[in-house]
Amino acid sequence: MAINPRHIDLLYRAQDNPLSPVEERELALALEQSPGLRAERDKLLRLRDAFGQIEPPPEPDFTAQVMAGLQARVVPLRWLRRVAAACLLLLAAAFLTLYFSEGSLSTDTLIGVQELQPEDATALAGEWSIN
Amino acid sequence: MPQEAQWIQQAKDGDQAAFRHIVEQHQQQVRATVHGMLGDTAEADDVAQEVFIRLYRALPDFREEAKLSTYLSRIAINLSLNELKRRKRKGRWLTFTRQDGPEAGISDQSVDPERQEMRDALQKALQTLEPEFRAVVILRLVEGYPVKETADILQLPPGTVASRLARAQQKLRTILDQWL
Repeated sequence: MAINPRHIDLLYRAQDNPLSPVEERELALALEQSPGLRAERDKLLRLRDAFGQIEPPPEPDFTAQVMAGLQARVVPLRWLRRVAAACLLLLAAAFLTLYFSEGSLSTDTLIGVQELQPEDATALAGEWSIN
Repeated sequence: MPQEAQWIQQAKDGDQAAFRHIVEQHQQQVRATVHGMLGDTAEADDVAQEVFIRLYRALPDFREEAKLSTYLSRIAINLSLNELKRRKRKGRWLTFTRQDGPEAGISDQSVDPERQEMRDALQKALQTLEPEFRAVVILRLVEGYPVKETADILQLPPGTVASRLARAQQKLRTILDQWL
């Protein structure tokens, strides 16, 4: 005798989602009356049990590989960040030193060259052409 | 303070031996999740290793109120889904185990042949599910998370998880009939 598809649906839903009291009673009665539905329930429970015991193949070196991966990828990155932070601090210290000694951080102060006038540029060009 | 919480705190302080303990404690769970999602392939273990590397990077921000196992499962599922998308772009949608497909499977010599066959059948059946259905089966049936926690990990409503489980189990039941 064919199993009522609705009862199959109730059976599967009942595993992970509480049924309403009416649905529970309907399923209980159906299980009582249908050997086919009981067989289906038993197969479903065996299926769930089988998946609950599935395990990956053993890999004895897994932990060592993770730790090696960390050494190769993550630990150097932390050192790089520390070096970058140190460089930024040095740069900030250099700017502060310049500011307190020269009193400004203008382009002239930073480059250390007096602002050029147009006549200076032509004079320089003349010198380069002679040389 | 529970042992694992101690290891987490020590690992946050840079103690790599403590982090090693965390890996040893959770590797089976993470590998089971990733192998379930990707099949028994060598690249599954690459992804599983990446889960722990992501954890290590995220340790400074890890809040102890969150369960570590749940956090790891979330990373494992997300990285596995990314890998599946990458495979799809490369035109390799289904990955079979052992001798059945393009991927060379990992052979487990320590398990008796009949149990290995059953395991292969379960893995093969899992790979026939769409990734979003596979994820709920792995978290709920393989890892044993309750529906609510499965829903939290996948950021889905519990009703959707239950519905996907019911449909996935019906398909798996048909495929695996001879084993049941």
